[in-house]
Amino acid sequence: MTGWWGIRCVWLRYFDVYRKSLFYSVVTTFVEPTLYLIAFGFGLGGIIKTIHVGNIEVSYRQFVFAGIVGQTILFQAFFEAAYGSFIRMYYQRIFSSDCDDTDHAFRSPVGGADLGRNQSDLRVQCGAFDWDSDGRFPSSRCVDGLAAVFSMRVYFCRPRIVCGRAIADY
Amino acid sequence: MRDLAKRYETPGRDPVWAIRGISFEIHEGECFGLLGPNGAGKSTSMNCISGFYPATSGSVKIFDTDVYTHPKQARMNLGVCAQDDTLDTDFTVFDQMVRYGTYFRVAVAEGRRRTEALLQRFGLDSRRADLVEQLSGGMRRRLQVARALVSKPKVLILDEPTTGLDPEVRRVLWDVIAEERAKGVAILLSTHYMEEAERLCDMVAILHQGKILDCAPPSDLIAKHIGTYEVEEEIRTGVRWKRPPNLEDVYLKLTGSHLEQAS
Repeated sequence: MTGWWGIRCVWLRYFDVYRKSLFYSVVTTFVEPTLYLIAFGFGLGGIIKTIHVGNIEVSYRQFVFAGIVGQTILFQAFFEAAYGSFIRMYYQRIFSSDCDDTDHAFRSPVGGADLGRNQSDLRVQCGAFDWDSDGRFPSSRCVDGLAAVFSMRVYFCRPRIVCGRAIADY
Repeated sequence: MRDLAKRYETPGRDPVWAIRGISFEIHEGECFGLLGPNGAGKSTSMNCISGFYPATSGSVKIFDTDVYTHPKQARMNLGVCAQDDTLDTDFTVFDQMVRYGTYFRVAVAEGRRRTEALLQRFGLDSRRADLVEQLSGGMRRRLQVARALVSKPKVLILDEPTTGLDPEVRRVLWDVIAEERAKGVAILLSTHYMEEAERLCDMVAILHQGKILDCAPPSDLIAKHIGTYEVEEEIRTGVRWKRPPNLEDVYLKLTGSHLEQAS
């Protein structure tokens, strides 16, 4: 039993769950940014026309649209990896890290606990968290990009504005 | 299983020995029963055998594979029905069996085929599209046993599989256990039903306070501890009857004297 098999099993499990709840996942993903767009777009859009970021002037529409997209991506990916994992591990007890009776995968070859130290198998955790990222595929890839941007110390607003302009122009 | 011991340690409390050096062997096609009062260490033993709990000392081998040094390989041969509900609430009855099979490297197509057969065998075919929440307690129990069989295990661990089931469903499970045993599956069964143990088990170990008090075939245990004479008991005030001795008499004789001490 290789570690990759465990990761694959866990990843596929999460993919299955995501596929089955695709409609709700997609709808709920769009509801919040849409509300924000209405609130900040219509609400503040009448007051603010342009935004100055450094020496660049962009329209408020470009600014707020790109910002909300970025915020949604960040939130969705974080929520899935943080709260989603907490629910699965604490309440659903799918891949719990403690020695609890009710972890179904730990009864199988997937997720054999590190018996000496009472810890979860790292490979299961890897699979779970890998899915957390990939569960929101477009979000996660963008978050990866943003993380790269941060790590390179590139000015955050500049790519956001470029992105916003591209979207608005499109 | 050799000299298996498990000690629970909780900060601020004295350590509790759940099992204190128990040893036994189960052979292919044998059903081994673990009997004992609540808290005797049955479930802890089973969790240690499945590699789910780390043992404090001792060793467990499944077909020469050490559970603690090679847990994944050992579990490939294991089918476990835990005492608690371990079903995956995200999936329907059918899907979770197929998904569970993939954990044991059962291909999806093969998993579906096995699942079809098992659901029919366990009378759950009509509920295949239901989620776990929509099932009754008895159905959940059946599903858990069915799921444990989807990987065609060589060793089946059943922790009180028939608790809470109605007599009809219990008999279905008995038939399933008998069939698996006939196929050569080694079965470890814990139960509170003496009739069940007497009917199904080739060997029975009476466990009490983490120790095996005696281990033998049910008929031998009865003959050794009770005898072959009829037992007379008072079922109501003034009403007495005689009946053949059974495993319950052995169980009560071996563990009953300790109940006061245990409480």
